[in-house]
Amino acid sequence: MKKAQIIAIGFIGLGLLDSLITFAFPIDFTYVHYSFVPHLVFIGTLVYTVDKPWLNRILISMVIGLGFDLLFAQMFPMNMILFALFGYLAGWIYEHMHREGSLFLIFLGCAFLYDLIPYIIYFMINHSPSLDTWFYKIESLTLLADLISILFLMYIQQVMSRFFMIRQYRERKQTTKKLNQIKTSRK
Amino acid sequence: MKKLTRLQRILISAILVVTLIGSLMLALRQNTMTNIGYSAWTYIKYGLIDYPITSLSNMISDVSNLWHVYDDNVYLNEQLATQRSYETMYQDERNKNRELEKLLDLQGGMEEALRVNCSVLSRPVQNWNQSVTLSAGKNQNIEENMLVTSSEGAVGLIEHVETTTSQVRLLTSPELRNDIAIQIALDDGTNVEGILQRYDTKRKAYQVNLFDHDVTVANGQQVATSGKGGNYPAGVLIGTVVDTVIGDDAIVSTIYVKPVSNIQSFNYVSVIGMKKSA
Repeated sequence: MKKAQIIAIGFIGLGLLDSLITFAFPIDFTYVHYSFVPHLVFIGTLVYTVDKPWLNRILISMVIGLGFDLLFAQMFPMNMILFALFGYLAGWIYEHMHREGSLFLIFLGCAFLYDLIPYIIYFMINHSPSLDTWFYKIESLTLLADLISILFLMYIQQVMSRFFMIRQYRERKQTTKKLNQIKTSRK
Repeated sequence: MKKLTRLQRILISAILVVTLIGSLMLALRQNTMTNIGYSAWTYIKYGLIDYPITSLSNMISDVSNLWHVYDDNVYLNEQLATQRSYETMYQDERNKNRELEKLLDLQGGMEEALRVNCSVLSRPVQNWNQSVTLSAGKNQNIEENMLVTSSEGAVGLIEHVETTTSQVRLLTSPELRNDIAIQIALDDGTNVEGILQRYDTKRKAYQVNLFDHDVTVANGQQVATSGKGGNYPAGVLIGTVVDTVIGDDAIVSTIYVKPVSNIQSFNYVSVIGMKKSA
């Protein structure tokens, strides 16, 4: 299977996981009970695109955000813009910081801003809920879930990178072997 | 300007096409294009997540309900068993009451006789048709050869008396030592008398020899004590005629009498004897 296909399937899997978590723990928009919003697709996008060139970052994030908009019926093209914005922003900060452990903080900050911006827009229109209610009832647990998601996805990213590297190495080795065989047969 | 790579060109094209179509649909129909995608995604989500999870939770709920039903069933079975026990206890007590009521009826008919009412203390299973022990003895003026009657009629004779208990030899016992003088009231107002010899286990009836061979005895006639030659009064029911044996000379000599109906099971008895004159 091609790398692009594996990545696409991976993102569909993350979308399904998001749905599964939302189904198992429904979000309480009445803010009566504590709840959280899973951001596996968003964090997955950041993790995948952070080390890519800036245009690739924006384009890949836009496509994933567009898919997210298509499948989750939210404010089209809100997610496309937000994904692209944070995809670019995360990569830009990463390029300029280059500190050990900074990636984790970048992802966590982006995830928080990803929730905060829609909240501010919503608050400007509806004047509710208050910031502390929103933060305690939804965002606190969401940040905790984001924290776990980041650790999980960073680990997955490392595993996948290694997997693709080994596969690429084997493919190169096989190609070299074939070339040598062809050269030997010609002699 | 830097030339775009193949990947970038594909991505830009995809974004432009999808965004354009989405914007057009949004403008023309006042409806987001995401509804199509949302429907598809919802369908996939329903098939892959919602339906399996709902089915699983329903299954768990069903198993849980089944477990509750099982508990209820066990509880109801216990209740039902208790109810059955109450029912049999009630039935037993009602039978005892009936027996006592009938014994009271009998008591009124024999004013000249000595009557002691008592209960059955034991009836050995291995000798069920032979003997019983009563809760009355010498202290209650019980004497040997007094007649023991259940609520239906005669069932035995007192064989041995202790201070507070007494042993009864049942009429169905093959070891019944004393014969019992009986009489049968005939239609013409006369009586025919005879002797209860023994209990025929094959026929399940008493064998009675009649003194008068000329009389006609029909099945169903009642046989009672005659009060002659025993320590008990006349008129106590022994049983009903079920068979007659005609001898070679075509006269009735032996009849078979079916015992009273509750001889196999009784709890209260009256011991009947003759009052001693002062």
